[in-house]
Amino acid sequence: MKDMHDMNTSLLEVANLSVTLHTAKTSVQPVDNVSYSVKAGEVLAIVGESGSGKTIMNMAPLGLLPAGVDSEMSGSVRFEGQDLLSAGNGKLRQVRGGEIGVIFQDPLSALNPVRRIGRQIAEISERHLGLTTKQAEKKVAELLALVGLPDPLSRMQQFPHELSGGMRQRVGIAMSLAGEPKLLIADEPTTALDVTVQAQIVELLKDLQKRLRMAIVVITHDFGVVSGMANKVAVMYAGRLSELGSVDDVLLDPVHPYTRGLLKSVPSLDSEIGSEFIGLPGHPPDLSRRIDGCPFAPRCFAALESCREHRPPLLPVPHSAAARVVACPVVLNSHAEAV
Amino acid sequence: MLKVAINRGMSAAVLIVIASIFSFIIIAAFPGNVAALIAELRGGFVTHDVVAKVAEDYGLNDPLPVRYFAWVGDVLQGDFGHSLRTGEDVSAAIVKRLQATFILIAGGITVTLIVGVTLGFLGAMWPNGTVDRIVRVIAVVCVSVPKFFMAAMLILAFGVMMNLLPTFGFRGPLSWILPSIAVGIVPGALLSRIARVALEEAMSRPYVVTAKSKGFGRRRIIFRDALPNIVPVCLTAVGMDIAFITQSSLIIEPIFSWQGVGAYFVEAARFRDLPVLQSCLLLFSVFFIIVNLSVDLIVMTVDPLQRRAARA
Repeated sequence: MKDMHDMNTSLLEVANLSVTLHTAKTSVQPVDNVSYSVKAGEVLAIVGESGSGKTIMNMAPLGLLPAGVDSEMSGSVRFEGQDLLSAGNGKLRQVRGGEIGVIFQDPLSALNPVRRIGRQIAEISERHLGLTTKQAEKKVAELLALVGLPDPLSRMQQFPHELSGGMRQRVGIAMSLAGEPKLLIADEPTTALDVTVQAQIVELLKDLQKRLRMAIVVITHDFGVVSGMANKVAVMYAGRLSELGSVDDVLLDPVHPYTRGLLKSVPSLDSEIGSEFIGLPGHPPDLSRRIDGCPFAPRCFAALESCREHRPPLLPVPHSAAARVVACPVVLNSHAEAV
Repeated sequence: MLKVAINRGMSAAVLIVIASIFSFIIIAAFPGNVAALIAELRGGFVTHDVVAKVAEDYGLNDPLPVRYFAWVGDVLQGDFGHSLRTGEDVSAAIVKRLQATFILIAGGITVTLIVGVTLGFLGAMWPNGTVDRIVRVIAVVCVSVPKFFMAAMLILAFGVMMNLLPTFGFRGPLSWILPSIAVGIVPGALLSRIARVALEEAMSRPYVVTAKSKGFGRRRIIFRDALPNIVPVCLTAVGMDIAFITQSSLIIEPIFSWQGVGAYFVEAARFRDLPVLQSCLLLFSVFFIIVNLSVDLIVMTVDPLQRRAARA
C-alpha cells in the first residue's frame, strides 16, 4: 500500500480550508483559510495555544466533531487526491479508521468503558481489513505487543478502567493502527498523561512511524513533542497559519513574532533557578468576531499601524528552504536585512 | 463481589425487619375500635362485655411490642393468622391469589418492556424527527392519565366497542391482555423516555466519536457502543417499574375482577381485616426489597465499572 504514492506527492493536501462552527447562540470561525500538505512518511506537527483551531481543523473534515456541533467548511482537503469535503458518508466511513487513524487526547474517555479492549480494537481490523474474528484477535495481540503492552492476551480481556493512563494511550495507539492507515492524526496524544509517560509515548510514536512508514499529523502545544518526532511544523494562531517550515528551521530560527514568543515562553533547563517565566502578554482574540488585520497585532512587539488593517499574506522566507512561509511582512523585511 | 453481595443481602434483611415493623404498626394504629368491629362481624348483640371479651381473646389489650413479637413469631413459622371476617387461613388465601397477581406483574412488565424498548428505539433512531416527537407526546399522555381511567378506556375500546377481548375475570391468556396493558403502559412510556434520554447522553460521549473514527455508522454505534452503556440505567428503571406495577395491582385487579393479592388487600382494607392487611403489606414490602436487591446484583454483574467499585 505504501508504494501507490511515491514519497514526493502529497498524501494529504489541505488548501484554503476554513471551518465555521454554528452553535445555538453564536458562530465562530476557528479555522481561517489554512493550507498545508503532508507527504507520505512525513510527520507534521501543528502547534498553537488552546482554542487556536488545531483540533477542529483536523477533525471537522473527517466528520469527527462532537455530537451537536454544526460545521460549515470551504476550501478542499484532498487525501490521495480525493476531496474529503465533497466525499459522501460511505467514502468517509471507509477513510476513517482504514486510511486515516485517529489518536485522541484523553484515552480514558475515548475508550468505551463497558467493552473489552480486545473487541474495541478487533472490530476495526474486521471492518477495514476484512479479517475474521479469529484473525482480528490475533492481529490485536500483535498490535498490543507492538505498542509495548505486556501480556497482550490477558489485556484484551480487560476493560479500559483496569489500565493505567499510559497503557490506555498505548491501547488508543494500537486502535488507531488496527486498520493499517497511511496517515495518523494524533490529537495531543500526550497531554492527558504523566510527564514521565509522555516521553515514552513520543518515543513509541516515533518508533512506529519509522517501522510502519506512516505519515503523522500531531497536534500539540508541547515543543518537546515537536522536536521529538516531527519533520515539519505549522504554527497556528487564531485559526490562521502564522509560520510553516521544517522543524530545525522553525525551532532554531523562528521568524514570526508569535512563534518567537511561544519558544521564549518554554522554560529551559539552562536558565537559572528562580528566573522569571516569560509569557506572552495579552490573550488570544475572540474568534466570533471578524478580524481584518493580523490577529496577533495587539500582542505583538513589532506591530505597525498597517498590521491591524490588512491581513498579512504567507510569504516565503528569503535565503531559506522553499517550503518555509511566514505570515509577517514586517519581520520578514528586517529578517532579510539581517541575513 | 461476593462481599458486596453479602453486604447488600444484609442491608436487605435489615430493611425487611423495618418493613415488618411498619406493616404491623401502621395497621395496628388504625383508628377505631377493632374489637368492636370483630364483635360486630361475628353478628349477634354487641355489648361492652362482648367487646372486652373479643379484645381479650385476640390479645388486643397487650402492649404493641408484645403483639408485634407474637405476630412475627407466627409469621416466621408460616402462620399468617386467620381472616377476621371469614376465618379463612390467610397464608392459604394469599397462595390461592398469588397466581393472578403474578401473571399481572409478568404481563405488565412484558408490556412495559415492549412499549419502552420500541418507543425508546424509534426515538433514538431518528432523534428529534417526527417519530421522536410523536413518541414523546404518547409518553407524556400515558404518564399523565390515571390508571383507573386508562383501564376504563381500554375496556371501552377493546371490550365494548371492538368486542375483541374479555373485559373482566381471570379466564385464560386472552383475559390477561387488557389488565397487562393497563398496568404496563405507564411504566412503559416512562421507560421509553429514560432509555431515550440515556441513549442521547451516551451518544454525546467521546467514545462515540472514537467509534466514528473507526469508520462505523450511526446505527452500529447505537447498538455496539451506546446501548451497553445504558443497560444499568434501564435495568434499574425496570426494577422500579416492577414495584410500580405491584402497586397498580391494587387498582387494576378490582377493576377487572381478578382474585389477586391486590384485590384481596383492598377488600380487607374495607373491613379492617387486620391479619390480612398486615400479611399483604409485609408480602408487598418483602417482594419489593427482593426485586431491588436482585436488580442491584444483576446490574453489578453486568456493569464492568460497578464490578471494579465492588472489588475496591
